Amino acid sequence: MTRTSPVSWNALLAALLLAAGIIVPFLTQSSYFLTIGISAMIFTVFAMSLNIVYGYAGLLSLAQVGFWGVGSYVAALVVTRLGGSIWEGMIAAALVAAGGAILIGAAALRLSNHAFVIVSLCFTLLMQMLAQEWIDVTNGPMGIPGLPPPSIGFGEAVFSFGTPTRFFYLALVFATVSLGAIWIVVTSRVGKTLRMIKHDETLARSLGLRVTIWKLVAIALASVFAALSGALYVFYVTIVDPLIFDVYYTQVILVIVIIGGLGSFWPVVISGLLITVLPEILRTPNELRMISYGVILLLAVLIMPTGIAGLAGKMRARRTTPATSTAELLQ
Amino acid sequence: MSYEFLLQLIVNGIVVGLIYGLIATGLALLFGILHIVNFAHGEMVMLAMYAMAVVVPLLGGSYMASFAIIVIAAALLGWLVSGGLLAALSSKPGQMAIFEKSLLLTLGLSIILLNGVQYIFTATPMMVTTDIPTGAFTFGTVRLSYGHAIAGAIAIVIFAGLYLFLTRSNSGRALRAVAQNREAALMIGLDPEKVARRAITLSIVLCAVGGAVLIPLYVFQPIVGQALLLKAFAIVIIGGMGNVLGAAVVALGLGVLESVVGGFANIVWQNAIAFLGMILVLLIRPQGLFALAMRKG
Amino acid sequence: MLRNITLAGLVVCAATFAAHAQEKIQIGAAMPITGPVAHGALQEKRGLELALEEINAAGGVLGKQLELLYEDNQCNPSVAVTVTNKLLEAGVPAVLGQQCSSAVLATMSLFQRAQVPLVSSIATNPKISELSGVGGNPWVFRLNPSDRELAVANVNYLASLGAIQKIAIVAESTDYGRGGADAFAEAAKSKGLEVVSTDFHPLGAPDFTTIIARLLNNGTQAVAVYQAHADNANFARQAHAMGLKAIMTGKLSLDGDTFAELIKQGAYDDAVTAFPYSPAVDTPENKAFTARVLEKYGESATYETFAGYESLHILAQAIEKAGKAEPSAIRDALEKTSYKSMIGATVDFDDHNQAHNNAVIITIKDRVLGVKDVFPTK
Repeated sequence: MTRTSPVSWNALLAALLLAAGIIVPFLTQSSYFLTIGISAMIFTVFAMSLNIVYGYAGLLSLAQVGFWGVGSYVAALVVTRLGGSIWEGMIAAALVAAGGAILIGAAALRLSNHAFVIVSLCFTLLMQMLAQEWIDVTNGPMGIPGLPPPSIGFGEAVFSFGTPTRFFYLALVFATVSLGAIWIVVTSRVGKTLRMIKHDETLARSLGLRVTIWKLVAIALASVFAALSGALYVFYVTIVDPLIFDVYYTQVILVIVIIGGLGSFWPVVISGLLITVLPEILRTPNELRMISYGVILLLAVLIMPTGIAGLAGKMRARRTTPATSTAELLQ
Repeated sequence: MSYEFLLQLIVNGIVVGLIYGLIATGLALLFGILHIVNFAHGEMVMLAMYAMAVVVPLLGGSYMASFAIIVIAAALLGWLVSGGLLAALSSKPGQMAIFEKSLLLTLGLSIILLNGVQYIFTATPMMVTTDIPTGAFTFGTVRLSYGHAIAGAIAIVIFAGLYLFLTRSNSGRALRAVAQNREAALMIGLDPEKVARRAITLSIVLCAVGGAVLIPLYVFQPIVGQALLLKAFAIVIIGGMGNVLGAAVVALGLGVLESVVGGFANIVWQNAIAFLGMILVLLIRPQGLFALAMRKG
Repeated sequence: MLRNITLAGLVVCAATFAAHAQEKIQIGAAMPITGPVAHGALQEKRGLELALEEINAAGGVLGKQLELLYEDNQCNPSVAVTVTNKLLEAGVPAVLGQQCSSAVLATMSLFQRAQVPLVSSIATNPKISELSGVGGNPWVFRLNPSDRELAVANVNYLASLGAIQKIAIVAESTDYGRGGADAFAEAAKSKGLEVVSTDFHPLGAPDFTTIIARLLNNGTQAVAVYQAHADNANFARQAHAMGLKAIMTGKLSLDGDTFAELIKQGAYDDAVTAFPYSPAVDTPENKAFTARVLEKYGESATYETFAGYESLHILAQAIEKAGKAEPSAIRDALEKTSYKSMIGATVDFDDHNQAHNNAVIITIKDRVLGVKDVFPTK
């Protein structure tokens, strides 16, 4: 059985999703459905950022929500306090996140795996506490409302993304570019190296790889995409408050990534879109939706910890050659 | 500086610390003996509080009777579910490590419990009126409300019992043996599953007691467990993740420190202490505290 | 469960609003249905439902029946933004409530952008009127007096008692709490009273023992609070247990069974508060109103019941005057409102879209609640 070239499958899926994205606003003018779509795309990028650090690099990090929130606040502050545009806000968000990630990562990677997880959790909690208590800067529980819609151009020729339809396309561009960039990274040497480190760290070290540096790269990359999605998100919602750090977000991205399959790409994308869209379509009440996420998380960890990708992989393995060896990963 | 004020703060802090201790020692037990991180620990306390909220009115406000029922129910329930929990948490080599698996599983459990309770009871704050009279013991100018006094007394009794159990009884010593050195414990013929189930049950009972003593003091909502989990976590990390005695001591210290700092400085700092302590310890002295965590197997 | 199904059903109704335009007029009502202020939302809903019954029984508005579309803002700014967008998307020509100052402040710009009026009847942060009306947001109207007027009246009364010199402030860290605390501190300063401490706690904080210990120690004679009902009840219970003798003041709602119980136990001895309403205000209209609420719901009317009731009547009147259920016409009609409130004053809006209804001084003497004074707010 011949193996179809991976590139053509990827191109096909990408084209399909992109086409679907472009068509959606023509199918509905309802800002309700457009909002669902925007959330779906932003959350998929956010979940993919967790996938980079947890799925590809094998580091369970609970700091992603911390970076998502930090990105949101930085962008909001750049716009409301410093008079910048959202684009400048997003760049600032990415830089702050990456800087923070490298600092925290450098300190935390020296610790055991367990300690790393706890430190990552502490980071998110610390950011939440800062948002809540540092009233002078963040306005505390009262939040920073009234965030203006993104716009480009100056003077007369200003194009504002103030309507749901326009924001939908903005989110589509954001998701396409972000996921595209992530895909390039994870299929490149960087991704292969990370996967090898996750697979067998001792072997990687013995081959001369600077494991810590590579892990830092993963952590920084993940933080950047978390921060960017957070920044875009709050500008759609037009307000940021400490709830942005709520454990709800950690739960959602964990469920998305585990269902999709740690370290897989398209399954996580599909999982992200489905898991954000389905509960809204079904109009489930808030608590029931959360309970079902919890149940899904439990079942996934117990029954299919490798996610849909893992199941698909097992099915494929029954029909083709044995699983990839470390040597193949090194190519 | 007013001595009476300081004394009042210390007295408050001791009671709070004792309650923290109940909750934190359960968490420490689970990690020390089973290497389980229990993210649903706070929700277990919260469940006990809501259970009390249901039972107390049914018993005409009788606190002691309700307390007894809740604790016994927790012990029974704990023993029943412990078997299932153990099966769920077991992992073979090549699969997810127990630490990671328990983290994700208990995270899922905590979501289900929190939202389940919120769905049934809504997020409206719950105030439970018991037959504990309003008022306080006075020692000079220091006041200890009856509710706080009862909470403190119960906690002390439980700790005494726990200490005796762990040091004098065979099953208690078995728990400590497994925590100290799992392989050796197996070699001398201890049944790991029974020990594990006892540890889980004990942990759940401690949570139930912690929740039950809080209900005359707090007005609570379903998210009350989250803040308690954080405190418990901080205590366990600072004191040593498998170290039950460490957890108890740090809990007491944290309670007093929080109270004193909150009294003399801004309330904001009160909640920050646990948190900052945890971060400092992790950055400066994680090796000593994670000695148990770093062992393989 | 039934409520969720009803809410889902209402959303579906809203989505097909256009088709039903001939039969009903839907008004949006956002309030903190769940969370620490849920009690207030329950009361506001009762008032709204009572008014709704009356209006619909008398033939509705513009010949059509009125309908209320409820959304839960959880007294949180970002949730308020989300549900406000839902209501605006559903096409309602006006929205009532929000109830929480944070929710109003966070959503004011949304109403302006959508050009739909918001009638706020409970939120008391002074900033709301500063930002409304002339030179600001012409789409937001407020019926109730802000904490600034209330704090001035409160402090004046306390000062007149002579015995109170030192006051402590305890407030929740929200727009409501902080706005109220600022207003009270300002009023106290201008009357020469000393504010010995100010403590902000998170909304829904369970444990006040440290704050209470501080109050026991700093010689305060009164504690001015700006808290949600549940937090206030909790605080009063804990303070009473710890033997705090300082009298309670600030914004005390004191209505309803929980507080009746606490008042009887002595947790509110000698309390003094300036409040926008009391069921004990002695006018025939208020007496009739409270009797009807008691009969229908088995619990006494509270500020929120009164606020919900009058807000819907005022809005209905405006829609009638506007001649059509269209947002900007309603807004223009609202500006010209003249409504006789059941507690005595005439509700009309100044150039900051702020009404100046009467307020009351409530005191607790010998464990009995009484209205000491009804006064106009500027």
